[in-house]
Amino acid sequence: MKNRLKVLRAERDWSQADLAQRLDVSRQTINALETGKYDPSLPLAFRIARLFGQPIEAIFQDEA
Amino acid sequence: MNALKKKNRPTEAKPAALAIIGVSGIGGSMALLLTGDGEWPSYVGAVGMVLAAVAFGATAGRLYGGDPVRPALRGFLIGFLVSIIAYALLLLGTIRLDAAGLAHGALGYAAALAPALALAGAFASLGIYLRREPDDLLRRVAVESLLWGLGGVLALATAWGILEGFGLAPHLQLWVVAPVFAVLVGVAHGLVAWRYR
Repeated sequence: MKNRLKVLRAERDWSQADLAQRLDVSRQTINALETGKYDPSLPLAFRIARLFGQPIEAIFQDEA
Repeated sequence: MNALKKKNRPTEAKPAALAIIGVSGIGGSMALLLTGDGEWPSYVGAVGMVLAAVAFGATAGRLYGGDPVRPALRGFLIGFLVSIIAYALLLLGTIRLDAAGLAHGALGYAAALAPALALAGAFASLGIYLRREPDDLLRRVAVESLLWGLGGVLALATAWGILEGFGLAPHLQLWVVAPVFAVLVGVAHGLVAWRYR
């Protein structure tokens, strides 16, 4: 699954650690999400969507 | 963007140093456990293996991500270390009891159960950690590490048991399974975390 997390984070000039702190996850999790090594659970995807004020499908795109 | 990249870049020297210390600790302790002359070196080796594996596993997230230890993980480490130290002390007490010829009847059963209960405490700490940790990925890393540890220790125990039956391997006490499991989980935790680095 592709996502726009890195772009959205860069637009706000946040580091991975900043975003991790806002989502209450580890920096490693943010890195794994951005590099596509890990797809978030539904609750985490909702938290991300709420944080950036965008619908989930505007942040995550299914590659299937 | 360059500033972002620089800020997020993990340092290279610290992971390498911690990995070397962890692997050396596990290797040295395992050698002591398997080749130590007499009882005490074996127990020291077993406890050393567990502590080295815990240290390696616990620092894995930090090694590859540069994160501080999270509160849920800190709680688990404290609970786990207390349980494992209690396990080691109770195991030593049990052995001394046996050496003194007192491990029979009800006292013998109680002495055998005591270290096992301490070990169950270590797993209770793990269960609490899995419930408290809000990070999906860290929970997945922990569960995958446990599966590797469980699969590894069962495979090793099966192979060793067969070799013992053939007379190709020396007899090992069953309590060795617990420290070997802890080591496998600790090492697997480092490797699984590395996969998601």
